[in-house]
Amino acid sequence: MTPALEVVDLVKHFGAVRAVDGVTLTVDTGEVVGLVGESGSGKSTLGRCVTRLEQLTDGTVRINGNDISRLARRRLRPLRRDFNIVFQDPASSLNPRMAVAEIVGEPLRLHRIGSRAERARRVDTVLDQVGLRPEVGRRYPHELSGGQRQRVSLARALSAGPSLLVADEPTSALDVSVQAAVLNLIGRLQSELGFACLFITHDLAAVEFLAQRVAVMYLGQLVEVADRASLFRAPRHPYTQALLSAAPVPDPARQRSRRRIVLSGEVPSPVSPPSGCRFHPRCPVATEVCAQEVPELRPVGPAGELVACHLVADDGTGPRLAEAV
Amino acid sequence: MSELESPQGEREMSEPGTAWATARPPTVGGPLLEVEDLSVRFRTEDGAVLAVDEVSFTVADREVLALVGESGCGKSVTAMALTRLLPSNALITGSVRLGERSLLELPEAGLRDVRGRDVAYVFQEPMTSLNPVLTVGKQLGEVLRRHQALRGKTADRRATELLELVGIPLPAQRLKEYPHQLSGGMRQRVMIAMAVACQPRLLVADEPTTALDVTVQAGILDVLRDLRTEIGTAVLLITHDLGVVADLADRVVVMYAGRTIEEAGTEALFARHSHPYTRGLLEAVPDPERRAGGIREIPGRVPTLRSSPDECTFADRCGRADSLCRARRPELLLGPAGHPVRCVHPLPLPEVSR
Amino acid sequence: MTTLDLTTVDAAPAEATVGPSRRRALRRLLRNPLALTGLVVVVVAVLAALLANLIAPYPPDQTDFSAALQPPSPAHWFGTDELGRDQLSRVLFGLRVSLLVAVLSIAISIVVGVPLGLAAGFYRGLDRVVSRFADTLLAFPFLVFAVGLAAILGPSLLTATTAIGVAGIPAIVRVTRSETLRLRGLDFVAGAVADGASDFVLLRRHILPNSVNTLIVLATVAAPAAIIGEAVLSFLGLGIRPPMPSLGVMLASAQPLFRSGPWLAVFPGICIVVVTLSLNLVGDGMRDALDPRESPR
Repeated sequence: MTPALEVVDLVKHFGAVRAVDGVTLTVDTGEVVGLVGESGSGKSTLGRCVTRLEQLTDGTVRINGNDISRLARRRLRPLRRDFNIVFQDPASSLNPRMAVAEIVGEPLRLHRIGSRAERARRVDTVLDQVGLRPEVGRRYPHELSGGQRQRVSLARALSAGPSLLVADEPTSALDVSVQAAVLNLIGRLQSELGFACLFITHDLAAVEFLAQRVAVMYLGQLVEVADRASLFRAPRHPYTQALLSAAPVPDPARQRSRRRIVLSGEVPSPVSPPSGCRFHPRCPVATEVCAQEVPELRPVGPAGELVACHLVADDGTGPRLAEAV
Repeated sequence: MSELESPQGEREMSEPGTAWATARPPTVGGPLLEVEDLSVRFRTEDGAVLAVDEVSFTVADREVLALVGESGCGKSVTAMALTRLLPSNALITGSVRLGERSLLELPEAGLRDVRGRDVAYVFQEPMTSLNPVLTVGKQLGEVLRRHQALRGKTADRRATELLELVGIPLPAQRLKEYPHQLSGGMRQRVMIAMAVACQPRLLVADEPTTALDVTVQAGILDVLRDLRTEIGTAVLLITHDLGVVADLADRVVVMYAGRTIEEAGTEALFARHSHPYTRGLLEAVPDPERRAGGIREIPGRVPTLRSSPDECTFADRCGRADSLCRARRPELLLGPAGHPVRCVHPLPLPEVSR
Repeated sequence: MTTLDLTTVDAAPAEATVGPSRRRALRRLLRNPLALTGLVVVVVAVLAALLANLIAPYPPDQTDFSAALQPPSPAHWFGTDELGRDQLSRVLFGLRVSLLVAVLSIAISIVVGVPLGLAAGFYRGLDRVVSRFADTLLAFPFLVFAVGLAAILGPSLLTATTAIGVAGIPAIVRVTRSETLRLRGLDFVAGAVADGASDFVLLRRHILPNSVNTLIVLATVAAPAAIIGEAVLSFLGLGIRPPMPSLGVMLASAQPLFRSGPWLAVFPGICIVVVTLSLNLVGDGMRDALDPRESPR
């Protein structure tokens, strides 16, 4: 079956900043893929490129088989019915001058779906699906809380029934308890409506909850792609291991007895990434070849997980930076 | 020049260039910081808003106390109220004692001495807290000059030591750099260095790692942890991140809608919490083992209060609430787990199975 | 010291007012005493100017040589000029002209400036051209331009209006352009693009409505400038020509007669000052009322 999303060798440079430097990734129909990375990793840029909110510098993006990489905007617009995006910041993701019902109905109006009455009904349905009462349709964004605004964003993105949703840090700006609600909502919507989802975040706990597969990004490139269980149980790439190790666990006994992997230095600037493996200056086990050659993202191990590391053998064995948590 | 009482009387300041570590002996007799019935009201154009509602807690010498809660619970306002760092429309009542001194009664001049010297702050956004047009060295130097009257080479040496203390590599070089040349984690370390330049008794850290990447966060937490042994500073940690609390805090005070609702040692709070809101917070973190049921949500929203209601402020969102909960304001009493909790129906102790 | 931002992400808003935020802004404006005073004065002035026909005690160009150069009296509250014309009536009609010029010139500035600003903010290619154009206009000295225009069209109401209107274009372009640039980067615009909006829809439904607040403030600030502009031009003989009254013309005519009839200059002068001051107060009040706290950040 055609995957919902196919990204092949995507490159996006902003002048000298190499935000995304050759990413290949697939999201199957109905699958949730978590894209994890820290600041400077390029994950948000990738999300925007995939939805053609940015022009690609190079590479290909196919959504449900349609190559949208270089399509003219006019030809692209009707295809936008099939994919959409929600953003992180509830304060700026809704037009303050539009009522909620107008916002949610915008994709329907733009794609001329249904009659006026049908659209109104559809808006009510979608609002209900995201857990908002129909009266909320008459309100304006400034009357809503952050959590409610994110629900409206979801309603907007899903009202035209897309088969792919890109979620760019949808819960990062919310309080813990609200995050829970929104994550639950996304999970429920995804299983009810069956859309594919590229879930971009730095929050590993959220990814572990929602995603079936996880891709880890560092400085513009993918370093590891694996199914959720494998990634969290036995991460292969040193950066993934460090990332998992660094995320504090809300359990004092465990947290304080863990041996944490401390990375030296900080994330370098994407303007002049290090030679060879981009992670090598901070990698506790880097060798000479790591500084010289760029490692390929290649399948390793029995299940064919993808890792980009010279020190990981074809059978999947590789460096273990710390004992299992 | 104001001094904190200590058994020896005068506070000893270690000479620049000498070892940091045991510059100050711990105080005996009484906590370092004692907050009693602290309330903060704001006069806004829409009326009065009650942000902090008779909050009481103590911080012992060299202790790390975490104030935990979500947005709107009043934890940040509490922290700022300690040294009256609030806008002019804020009305602060209650008592804040640092050692022997009552901070809320100090005149502005005395308070300025306290800020930075006895109580120092570290905030969430290092980029907006650091002056972008001054080098790191200049900014550190300014702090050292103001509070310790150090200048020139002596100040430089001390500044270098400070940067070393917070784990910044090549500190001498860093002194000449500008904030924008440093990464987020580095800037936060510089902020901490500036905050502890005068060896404050208390460091108030308001969401110090929230804006940082996870891999950088760990380093900052280590710095904060080491400050206790290196300089003898206590830390009041304001955060919503329970992972950070689990990592760093000795004791935890949970706040909700301006009130303290539970106080316990860290391990006790996580393992034997008593307040339903605390449980809600702990369960809001996605747990892979409970995936099937979804993440537990707390329905409803944090209320914005105008005055202190004569009932439990969490009652509207609590599954266990009944008429007793709305009858009057719950007191902070010892709960079934042996630590204070403000709840009429606290949670029972968990079963011993596990 | 850091100021505390009390807006929390998921706390309930203090008052759930229904409807767009402009209603709250209006209420905030009315609560501001200075702005309210200014608003009252402006409203009175506008009403007086509109109803000049009805409330003026005398026709503005009715001469009466027997009552020439009279100081203020019960028959002529503002006195009379050398031709015996009632000054109060002339001030009323003059105010009407001034307000008319202000409104028309601002209209010109907006009708030309806003589309240019939108285009400049939205299309980088056009930006260079438009900005250069606006900068050129700005560099041109206003009076020189007015003189030139008067030479071509002859001094008149039209000339004054056009000159002031054109002079106001660069400011509108600049402000609209910067608002467009700012709004373009916000998530809700990106969301609209993802929804399938064309450039036109983006500009019309998302960018323009959110720029209106800034434009309103700009207009209330431009109005006093326009009034003074008209007064200056007419004073210099480049705008309204007598016998049509305009506050500027009246000031000009009053100049040689100042010794014998100071009231001839005082009343039009005070009128200008009061009206422009009030417009400024309203403009300030509007800016505070349309607080950025509520507009997209």
